[in-house]
Amino acid sequence: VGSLKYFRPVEVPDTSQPDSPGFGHPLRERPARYREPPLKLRAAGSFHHPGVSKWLSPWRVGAAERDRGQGCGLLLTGLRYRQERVCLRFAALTYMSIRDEIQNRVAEGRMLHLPHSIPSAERKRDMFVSEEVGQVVMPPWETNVDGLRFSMLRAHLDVFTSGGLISIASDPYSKPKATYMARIDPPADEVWDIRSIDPRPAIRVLGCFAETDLFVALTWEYRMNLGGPDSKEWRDFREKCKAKWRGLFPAYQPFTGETANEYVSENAHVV
Amino acid sequence: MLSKPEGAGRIPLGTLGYFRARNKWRVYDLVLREFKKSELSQADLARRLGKRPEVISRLLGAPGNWGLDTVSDLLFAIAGGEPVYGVAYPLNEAARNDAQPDWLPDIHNYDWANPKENTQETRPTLLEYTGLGAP
Repeated sequence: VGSLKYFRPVEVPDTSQPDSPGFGHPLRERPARYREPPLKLRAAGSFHHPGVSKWLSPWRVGAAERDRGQGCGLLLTGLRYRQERVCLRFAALTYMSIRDEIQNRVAEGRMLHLPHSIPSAERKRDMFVSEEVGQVVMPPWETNVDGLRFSMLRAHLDVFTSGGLISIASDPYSKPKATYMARIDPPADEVWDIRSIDPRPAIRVLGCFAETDLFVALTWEYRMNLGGPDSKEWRDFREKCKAKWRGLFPAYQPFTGETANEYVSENAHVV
Repeated sequence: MLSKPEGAGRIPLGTLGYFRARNKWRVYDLVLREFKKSELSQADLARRLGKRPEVISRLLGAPGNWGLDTVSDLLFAIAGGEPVYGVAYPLNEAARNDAQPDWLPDIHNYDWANPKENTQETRPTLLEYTGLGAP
């Protein structure tokens, strides 16, 4: 939790009046967009995040004011609007990391942390599941074929959370059939597929990494309903996953890593 | 959560299914660790077992339909090993304290029966989660 810091308002002189100190400055004759920089953001103290080291839009300030009171971020100030001569606004702007967002989604009941089914098992990685995935992987399971299959899917997901040895393919097409986890095409979308191929019917769980060793499982489907890799069903499946991510974390892109070990830090072998 | 068998009560099919799959993954983990430790290639292992390389590739990809004979063959062919048998009682062991990330707030204060009621306005703020601020 960052501490709140207070800032003194910055006076910006109005150079439009003849008696003002800056009147007649060469910059005055330029178009307004050169004379007044857009939305300048100033912050005291140090912080390191690309999301707040940019210009801010008034919309973001409004969102920040709405979220003020959560107090997890920084006070940023000194906003200067492009079209207004002098306009200083001071706002408490809350910087929320992806973890804060996950906390909020869990609190809203839209996501669930998936603990290992065996309470004594060690937790090495974390997985959060959407409501849709949670409905099938959380016990009790029905006493039928589907219930049996979903219980085995849960054991499959628990391999991830307990830090078990898993195989990862970052190439969507070149991978062994039994790969545990693979990135699907196009790779730039950062949508990953947990492949529960045994027993039949096989199940695919799609999701995205929020950070290293933190996977968010968003949707699932029986493999037999998906057709080939270029099928409409697969595309819809992928788009559904992306839409769910955007719905849960509109301000964040899925985590992107250079190597497989940036997604899963240990006990993973690349195939 | 999964529960231990009690008396003559029938064990839910889902619980049995979970432990079946868990057993397969534990054996798979054991074999694959041995294989990585041995630094053998899949081609060498295939030659040792007299099988085609694609069969070995499939076997090492996932536990699938491994039987006891498959496990025995693989462990012995990799490094002359055999499985050691014992019984553990995972549901008897004490629960771990770090079942969830430490940055995730304590969930016990929430009305989980009505998750939609935990709105932005009604749920505790982060300061309250962390004990740094008054509610």
